[in-house]
Amino acid sequence: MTEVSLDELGPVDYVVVEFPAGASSFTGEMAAELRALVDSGTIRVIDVLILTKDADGSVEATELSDVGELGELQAIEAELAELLAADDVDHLAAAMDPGSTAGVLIWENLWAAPFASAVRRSGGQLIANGRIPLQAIIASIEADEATARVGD
Amino acid sequence: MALRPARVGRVGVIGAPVAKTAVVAAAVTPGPAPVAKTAVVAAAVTPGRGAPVAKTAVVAAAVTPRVGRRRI
Repeated sequence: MTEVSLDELGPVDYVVVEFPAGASSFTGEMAAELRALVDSGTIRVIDVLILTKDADGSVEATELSDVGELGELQAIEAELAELLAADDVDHLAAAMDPGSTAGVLIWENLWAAPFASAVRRSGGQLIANGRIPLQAIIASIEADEATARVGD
Repeated sequence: MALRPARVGRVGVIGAPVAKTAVVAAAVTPGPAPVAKTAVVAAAVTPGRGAPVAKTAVVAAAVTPRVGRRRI
């Protein structure tokens, strides 16, 4: 992998996706979609871990390379940067329910990197960011519609 | 934990235990609300196994204020 200048680095995000006991169905669809995002240059996968939390709350972390047959994820695994430290595992697993399995994914938003670099070169500094839940957007639109109906 | 040795003893990037995100979001009150100013600190990654982690300032988010609302 080529070295990435820090000035050109895109925003880095993470998700922890939980699969409750007995509720998972791994068909390869997730891996294919993730591979498509990487192949299109939309994201760069930085790190992946699989966490399992036993009924007693103990947590086990597994490297992607230890999963076995990786299929679509083989190429992604070869490029991982191992950003997460052992200390991070407990923090990430805090959100998991006992008996569940979770995937941790860390990625760089390559699509945003050129804009982010331009912002930095222009003297901009990040002072807030976040994600707006879809439910909040729906609630806002519905409130607007309700207001419009009252005004009719 | 079956983690690679390179992960042990390093400084973590997830600063505190994370809370479970609610699947159903709380109701919101439409309209602008202030946001708190946050520290501009993030970790940047040097690709490669066992690579050191450097710190840098991160990215900015920008918004274009609009008058009126455009449907999504």
